[in-house]
Amino acid sequence: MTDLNFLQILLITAWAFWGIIDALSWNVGMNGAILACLFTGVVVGNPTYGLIVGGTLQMTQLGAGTYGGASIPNITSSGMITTALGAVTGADPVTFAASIGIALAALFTQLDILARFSNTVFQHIADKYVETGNTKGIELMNHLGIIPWGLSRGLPVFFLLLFGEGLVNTLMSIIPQWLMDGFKLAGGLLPVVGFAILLRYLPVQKKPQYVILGFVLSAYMGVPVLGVSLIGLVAALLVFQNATAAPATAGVSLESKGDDDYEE
Amino acid sequence: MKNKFTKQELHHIHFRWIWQSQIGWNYERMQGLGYLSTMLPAIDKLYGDNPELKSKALRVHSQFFNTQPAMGDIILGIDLAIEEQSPTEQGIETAAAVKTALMGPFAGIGDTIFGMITGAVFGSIAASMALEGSAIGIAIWTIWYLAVLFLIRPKFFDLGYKEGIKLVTSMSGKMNALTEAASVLGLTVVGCMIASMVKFPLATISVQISSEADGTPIMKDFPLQVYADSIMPNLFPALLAALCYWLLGQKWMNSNKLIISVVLLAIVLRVIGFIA
Repeated sequence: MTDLNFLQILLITAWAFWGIIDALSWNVGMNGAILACLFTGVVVGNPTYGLIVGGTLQMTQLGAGTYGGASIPNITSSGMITTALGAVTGADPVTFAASIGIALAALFTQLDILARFSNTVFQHIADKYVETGNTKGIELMNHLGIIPWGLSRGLPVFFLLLFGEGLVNTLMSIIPQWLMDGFKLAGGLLPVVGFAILLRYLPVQKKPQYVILGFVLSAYMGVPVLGVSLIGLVAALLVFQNATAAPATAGVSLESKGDDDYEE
Repeated sequence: MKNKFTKQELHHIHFRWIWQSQIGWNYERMQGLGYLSTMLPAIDKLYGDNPELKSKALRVHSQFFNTQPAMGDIILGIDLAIEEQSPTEQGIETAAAVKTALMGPFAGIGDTIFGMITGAVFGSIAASMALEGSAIGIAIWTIWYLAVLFLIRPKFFDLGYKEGIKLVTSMSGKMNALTEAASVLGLTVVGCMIASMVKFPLATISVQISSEADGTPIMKDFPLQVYADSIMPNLFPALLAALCYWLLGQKWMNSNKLIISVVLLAIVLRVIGFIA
């Protein structure tokens, strides 16, 4: 077991700070939990640990996003902290992600809200510049938003990496084994939350057959996820071709194929 | 056609949108500040010699705006085309009306395609491979992000600029079809993931059914997993998914509460020995 050195903490903090800015702009995926945790794992010398923590946390949030400016649990910052502290303290990655990782992610939601709120200050100054026609000032105010955004991710990562190790060691020694076993099992169950959230967004009540198709391919036939994705792509292409082939009935689903809607 | 913008200037403004659209995001105007800042060079170019129009453009473009950023490329392209053709008070007002009319529906389409479906498909692949210690899945997802940034988004912007407002009518059918096809893919993958990723290992319960004459208990094993599998493989993951789906539809439930409930459920089931 080795301690984190200051350079490692700075590198991880810098990624956390810039990750959210990337997600808001270019979006090359730096703010994704898996990539951020993998990076953290590489920095602390245990990439596999990062992959497992990132994968466990990503499973709770598949396809979820900050749609319309809603805040969601920040599994990226929490995942980076979980990876770094877990790898150096030797905790089981799934157990650790399902306990500390989940708790921190929920806690960090508040920091996201704080950042979005802080930027209204710059908005008000920019409004004054709009009246005076100060375009340079407007552009500056927009860019100042980087600071609250970045700090809302960078600060918690920095401080928890700096001071969190002792806390984690204490926690790990006082949490009883039965509770640890429970958390580990929770890690295996938690993906269901991500899927349920996703199903809420998808037209599952209109097209339940595709959920059944995917389930059967995996549960009964053991087709791996990439294979199921390709079969899903075939179904998607059929639906797309069917919907675009008849512009008059665009948007009609596959099931109505072949209907003779002459009365329309 | 009066083309005031060079190709280079257009791409510069689009580049500004990609970079600036959300860095100043705030609850009051959301992407409004980013949109205004993006438009500054265009406003200078179109209304630089007319202080009144410039002041109007600055005020109008600082209005509330929020959409999915990639779909915003199309709106920005349409806006630039409108204001370039009629750099007048009316042109600015038309552009503002188009922005307001399109941002909502475009956000819906963009969030479905770029957020939910791709997030679910690439996320599932990346997460399941990551759990096995492989980075190939996340590499595939990263390639998708790069494709969106360098291929899809420039294409969206050009579409918006070249086709202008008539694009909206011509593409509405195609976009609906695309959204629908994407959700079919998403549904299929989620079905597969429920079966393959939710680990719900039932325990084998030993129960004393009677005892022999000398008091030695006779135990009988009940392998719950075997019973469940004989009904349907992955029966419990499917039931749990249905339960969570139903719970999320309740007013008093949200995703944070659901996560905590599932963690508690796991601990309780483990303590009573229902899952192994």
